[in-house]
Amino acid sequence: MFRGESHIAPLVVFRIVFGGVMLASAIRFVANGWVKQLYVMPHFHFKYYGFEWVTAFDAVFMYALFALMGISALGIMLGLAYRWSALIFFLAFTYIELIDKTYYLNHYYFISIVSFLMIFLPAHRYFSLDVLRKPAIKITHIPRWITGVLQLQLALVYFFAGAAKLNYDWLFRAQPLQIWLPANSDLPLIGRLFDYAWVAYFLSWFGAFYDLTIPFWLSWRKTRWLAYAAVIAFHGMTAVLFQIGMFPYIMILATLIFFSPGFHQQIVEWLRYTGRMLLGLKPRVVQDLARVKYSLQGWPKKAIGTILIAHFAIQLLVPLRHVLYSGDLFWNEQGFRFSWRVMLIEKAGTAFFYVEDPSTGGEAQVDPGDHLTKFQEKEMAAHPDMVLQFAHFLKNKYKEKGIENPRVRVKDYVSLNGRGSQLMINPEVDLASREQGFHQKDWLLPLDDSPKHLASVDQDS
Amino acid sequence: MKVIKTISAFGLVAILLLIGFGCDKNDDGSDDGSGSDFNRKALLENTAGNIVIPNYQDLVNQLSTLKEKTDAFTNSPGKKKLDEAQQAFKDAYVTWQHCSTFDFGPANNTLRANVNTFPVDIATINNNITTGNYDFAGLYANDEKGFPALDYLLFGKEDDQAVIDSFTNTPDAQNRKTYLNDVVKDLQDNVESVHNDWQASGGNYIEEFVNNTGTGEGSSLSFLVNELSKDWEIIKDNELGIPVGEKSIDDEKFPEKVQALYSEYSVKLALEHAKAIENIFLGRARSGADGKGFDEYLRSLDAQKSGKPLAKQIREQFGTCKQKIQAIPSPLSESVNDNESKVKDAFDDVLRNLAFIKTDMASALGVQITYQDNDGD
Repeated sequence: MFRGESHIAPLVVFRIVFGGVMLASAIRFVANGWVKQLYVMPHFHFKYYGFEWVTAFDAVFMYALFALMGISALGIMLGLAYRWSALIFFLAFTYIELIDKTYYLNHYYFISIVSFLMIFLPAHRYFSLDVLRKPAIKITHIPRWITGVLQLQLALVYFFAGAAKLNYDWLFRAQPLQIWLPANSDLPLIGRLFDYAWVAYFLSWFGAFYDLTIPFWLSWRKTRWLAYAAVIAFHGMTAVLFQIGMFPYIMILATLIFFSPGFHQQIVEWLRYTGRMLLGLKPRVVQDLARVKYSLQGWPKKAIGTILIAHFAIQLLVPLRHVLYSGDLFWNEQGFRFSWRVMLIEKAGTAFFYVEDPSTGGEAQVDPGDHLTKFQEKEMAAHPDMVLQFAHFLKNKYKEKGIENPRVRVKDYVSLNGRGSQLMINPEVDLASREQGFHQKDWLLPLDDSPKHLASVDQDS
Repeated sequence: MKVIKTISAFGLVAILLLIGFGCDKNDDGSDDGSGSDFNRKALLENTAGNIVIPNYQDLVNQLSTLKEKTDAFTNSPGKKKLDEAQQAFKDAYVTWQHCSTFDFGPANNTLRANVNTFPVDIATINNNITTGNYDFAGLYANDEKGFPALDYLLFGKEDDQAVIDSFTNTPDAQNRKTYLNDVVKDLQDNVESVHNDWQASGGNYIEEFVNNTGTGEGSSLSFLVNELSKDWEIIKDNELGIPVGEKSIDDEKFPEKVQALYSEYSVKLALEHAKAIENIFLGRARSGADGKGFDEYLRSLDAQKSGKPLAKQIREQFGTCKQKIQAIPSPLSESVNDNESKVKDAFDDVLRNLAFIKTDMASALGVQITYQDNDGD
């Protein structure tokens, strides 16, 4: 995976595809009105710990940021001022994601990471506007480790996503698919199947097998095409079934990186040919006249090497950090994010807050819906760290109203993977007095996982 | 290598088989709802055909009666005519509680606010009457009209004679008559237009409603579930919580903010509201005829909670809520002080049921509440 050298085409195709999909995503996001809905309209944003300074400012700022992101994505796609484009895209995209953790998605995190890696890869030095401007930078061959970096990142995502599926709910209760599939039973042709439990079990096991092994099948020349057909079928199916936006398309296109340099050279030549035709130029096939190798020497080599090693060390450790916390991971979500736990849990909650004035004993029942959007309200109720943040928001709000040291309690009824709702947070604890941070949260109630909370097969009359 | 090939081929072929099997299955839509195979369309048809449209139809009829009675009263104000108008008002208000949930589709998220925003703004209403200058279509007119305004106009004096006097022996008596008639007319217009939009012979929203069988945001099911919980929150907060001081940190009570303050019909209306939402959950018409509802749907999914079927638990919680509301002595505006614990008891159980609806039911059905992408985490 990491030795030897090969043609640069796979990296170039990856650059074009990544930039193109990101441009489309940015346009889609704006066109759906989500910039306004998600960033401009809400009065309150759930911050990541340590990133409280990241704010949405106002509508002008947000649209400018999206414009910047779109333009830099275009720059990546065309290979124009590439390093700057990649850097700006990474910063703009990541900034937007950091504004509100309500909208955290694993695939957004994936995009942040990939755009970060792209900054360090010479993806613009062939078939790009930069080469057109400065032909001297053109290279034809790169060391294998460069595409290896992208392949490894993809493999890690799949592997951790697969490993996360090896849990009791997924394998032996077929949850959450047993909830999500019947919700799609009105789909044409395949919809009817989703009413059967065995379909949920089959797809659960197949999904786990797929995630754990697909990078291997894609790496082997002999299984590659078959594996890629499975990639299309698998992600295509998730696109139809679930509301996951661009993710399936990103994965279908990103996994092309596993194909051979020869295959990608054909894509590049086809792009060159059609591109010239569309521009009204005479189509021609360009042969690389000389083999020019990418050379990375001196301090840049050391710097990039260090960054990549550190990056992958972090990538290996972060998804495992949950072992440092006690309690059920899916329930308490301590160490849940940034770990490729995708489509794993159906979790919903309703949180009723109680704000007390300790000097009088008077208490108000407060509904978060008065201050949050529906989406924020739903996500908050299922995530303890967000409940705590909102409790602090209420504390400050009532302080402003002249209440000294308001106490904030919550009754948060949460349901996980089809278990009946239970209180997730100790309703007696004053959350206003609890700090945010990475320490073990002592105010969480354990998940009562006794069989009485699990669906039984008996029907009542 | 051969093994590997075989395994990956197996996965793919299995998927293709699944799809192929799906094609083979008879997809004629006839389905008896047995086993886990629940027909969402049947639920939507029952809800629209046996609950939504008949309830709106009742309301339209009762509003016509109300119009007759208020016309008669304004033509020659007297005790008997006032009694009749008051009774017609109460009947229509009760029926409104059975329509309140359906604020989606033709109601366009505005009908409920147009028809039943309380408390009303007495000062503005009196000013409207004096000046004769008002516009019910205005953006901020919701607390000057609707049932709560009628409540004030028909009951808002110390006794019936004083009400009659206000329509006869005051300088603005004529204006007051006009205002009363205008409020009734506005109610009629709003409700009739929504009713008409639902009907097959009118705007035919019913067809769109019953065929929109998905579970995503914008599906009929998500409209129902969302509005069901929103409307239940109105019982919790507006009809009980705010008046009894549950929402105030200094425990200040707001007896003047109860629904139907002047007619002292608050408890009855809250009870009817709870029944109305229970009916939607059960798929039960107001006449009592039971059809496909959320309870059957939850049963078909085998949704459980604490070892009991979720449908049964929610049904029991609806029962508890009704009991607790019924136990509040009327009028509510006095009970918030004199029987505070009874009102708070009812509030707590109504709150508990909101979690059942919003969390347990919505989650078991896999209903989406937003358009945004999510990856289930």
